[in-house]
Amino acid sequence: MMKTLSGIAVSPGIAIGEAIIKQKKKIKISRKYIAPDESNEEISRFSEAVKAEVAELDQFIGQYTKTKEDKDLLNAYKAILLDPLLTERIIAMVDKENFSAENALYNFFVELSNIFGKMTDDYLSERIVDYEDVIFKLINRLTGEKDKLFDDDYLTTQNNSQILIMEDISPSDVTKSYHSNVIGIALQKGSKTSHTAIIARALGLPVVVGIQELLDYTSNKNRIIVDGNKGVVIIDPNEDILQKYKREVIKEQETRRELEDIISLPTVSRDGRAVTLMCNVEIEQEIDTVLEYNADGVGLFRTEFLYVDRDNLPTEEEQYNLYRSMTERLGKRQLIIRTFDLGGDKLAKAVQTPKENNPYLGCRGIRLSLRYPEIFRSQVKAILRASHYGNVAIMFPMITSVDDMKRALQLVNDCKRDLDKNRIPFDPNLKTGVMIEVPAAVLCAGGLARISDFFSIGTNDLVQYTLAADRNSETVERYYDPYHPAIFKLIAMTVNAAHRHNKHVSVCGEIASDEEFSTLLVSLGVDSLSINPASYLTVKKEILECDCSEIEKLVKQILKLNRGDDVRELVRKTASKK
Amino acid sequence: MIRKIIIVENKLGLHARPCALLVKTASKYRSDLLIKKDNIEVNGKSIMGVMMLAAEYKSELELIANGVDEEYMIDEITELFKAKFSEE
Repeated sequence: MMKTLSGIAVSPGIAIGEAIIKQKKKIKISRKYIAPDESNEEISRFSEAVKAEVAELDQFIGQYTKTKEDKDLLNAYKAILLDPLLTERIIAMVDKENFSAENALYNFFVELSNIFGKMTDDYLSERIVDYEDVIFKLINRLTGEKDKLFDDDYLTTQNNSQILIMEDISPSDVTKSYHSNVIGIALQKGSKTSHTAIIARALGLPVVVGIQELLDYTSNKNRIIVDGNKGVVIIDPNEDILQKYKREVIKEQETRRELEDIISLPTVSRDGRAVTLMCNVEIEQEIDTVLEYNADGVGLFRTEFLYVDRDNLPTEEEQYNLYRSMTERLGKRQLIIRTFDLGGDKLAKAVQTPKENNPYLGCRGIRLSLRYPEIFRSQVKAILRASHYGNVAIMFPMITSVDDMKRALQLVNDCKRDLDKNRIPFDPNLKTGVMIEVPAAVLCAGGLARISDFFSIGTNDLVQYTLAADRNSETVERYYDPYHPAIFKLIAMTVNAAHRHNKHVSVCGEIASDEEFSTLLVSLGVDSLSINPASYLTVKKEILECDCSEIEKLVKQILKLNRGDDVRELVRKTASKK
Repeated sequence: MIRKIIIVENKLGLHARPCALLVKTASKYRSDLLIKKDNIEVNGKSIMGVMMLAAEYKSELELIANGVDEEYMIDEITELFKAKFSEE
C-alpha cells in the first residue's frame, strides 16, 4: 500500500531508491580516566581537538556555505567550541577528577541535557541537538573512533540507490553515506537549521526531516521516494506516482548535466565578451575544485590563515613550500597571492597590532605589513621563490596611495636583489597588483595603474569604506548596500583608469559570486571575476547566457541613479522582461 | 554599572543563532556582561551560558553591564533585541 508522509524539506532534489534502516551509532568511550600526572597532556589534547574542529568549520564555511543563515549557524557552532565555559568545565574535570577529555565532554553533555530537558519551551529544549552535533563530533575526534555506519562488505554487496532511513543522523554520517550508495535521506527527527542540513545541501543530497511515524511505516527494502523539494516521503509508490517522479528525476539530471557541460566551454558571453573566471581560495585543498571546474586560476589566495590561530610566525620555508605546491598543481593557470591582510577583525598572536579605537581605520593590510618589514619580507621572498615554478602574481591589500604601492614595490625589489645574490631562482617578471578597496585608490587609480600590472577590486571593503558602514555590524546592516549607485560609479572609474593604461581589472569581493551582479560587473568592463568555488558553475552559466551589450544599457541607467533601492528595482524589472 | 530589563521579542526565543550574535556583540566590548533570568545568572560572553537561560519568547531578562564601555555595550545589545535578531 502506498503511503505518503510529510515532513520538512531541508535539502532539495528527488531520490528514488530502496529503504535501508539504520540506528544512530552510540558514543563509545573506552578510556575514562587518566593518571594524575597526565592532566596537562590531556588538556592540550583537548585544545588541539578544538582547534582542529574550528579549522574544519572555517574551511567548511569558506568552501560550501552559500546563505547567511547557514554561515550564522556554523558560526554559532564555532562559538560553542570556543566558549570559555566549556573550556573551564573540561579543564576542571580533567584536572580535579582525572577524567579523560572525552569522558569530561560526555559528562558535560549529560549535564547540559538535564538543563535543556527541564526547559519549558519546546523549541529551545530541542536545541540540545546543536550541542550534540558539536560535542559528539569533538568526542569522536578525541577517541579516533571511525564511523561504522556502513561496514565494508555491506558496501560491496549492495546495489546502488539506497535511501537511508534513521531517527536522526550526525553530520559526519551524512558525509559518509554520501560516499557510499545513499542517494537520499529521510529522518524522523531533525530540523532545518542543523549542521546536518547544511552539509546535505552542500553535497546536493535530497533530505526530508521531521517525518512523524516514518519508522512505523517503513521496512528495509521498501521502495521509497524522497522529495526534498516539497518535503514529502512516499513509501511503496504506485506506478503513476513512480513514473511522474522518474520524469522529474530525469529533468533534474539534465539540468545538472547542463551545468557540467559548461565546464569545458570557455567563459564567453552570448555577444562574444570573454571573461577570465577564477576562484577565491583560502586553503590548499580548494585547488581540487579549481581544477575540477576547469577554472582560469586563483584570483585571490588569502594568506591570513598562515598567521592567525597560532603562537609563532610561519617561516619563509613553510610558506614557500605551500605556494610552490599550489602553483605547481595549477600549471599554467595563474595563482594570485594576496599578502597577509591582518588587522581589523583578523588578528595574529605573533604580529603585534596596536590597540585602536577604529581598527578598520587603523593599522591593517599593507600598513601593518610595512610596519613589520621583516615579517613582510619573508612572505614576499617565499612568493618570489615559488614564482619560479608556475604562474604566480602578488597583490597588496588596503593600498590608499601611490606611496603605499611604491614602498611595497621597493620591498619586492630588495627581496629580488637578495635572492639574486644567493642565486635563488624566481620569475623576474612577477606581476604586481593593487587591491582597490578604498575610495582614495579609485580616485588615484591612474597613478596606481602606471606603477602596477593589474587591479583587483575588493568589494567587501570598498562598500564598507565608501558607505562608512561596518560590514559586521548588525545595526548598520542596511547601510552596507552593494547596490548603492556609488559602488557602480567607483567600479566604472576604476575600469576606465585601468583600461586607459592597458591594465587588467578583476573583482574578487563577495558580490562577484552573485549571479545577477556578476553580469553587471562584466558589462561594466571588468576583465576578470574571482568567485567562491561554490558559486562557480552558476555564475559561469549566467555569463554564458547573458548579452553584455544589452546589460550595458542597463548599467548606463544605473550610473544615473541615486538610491540602492532604485538600482535593485531597475535590475529586477529588466530581468523579468527577459 | 548599568542594569537594564529587556524582553525577548523574537518568536523562537534565544536559540543558537541569536545567542551567537549576542555573544559576538558582547565580546566586542571590554565591559563584563551578566544576564539574569529568574534566579539564574550567566556570563553574557558565553554562548552556552546564554543558551542555558532558555529565554523563550516574551521572557524577561536583566542585563548587567560593568566596565568602561558599558553604555555602548548596552545600547548595541538593546538594538539587537529590538531588531529581534533580524529574524522575522
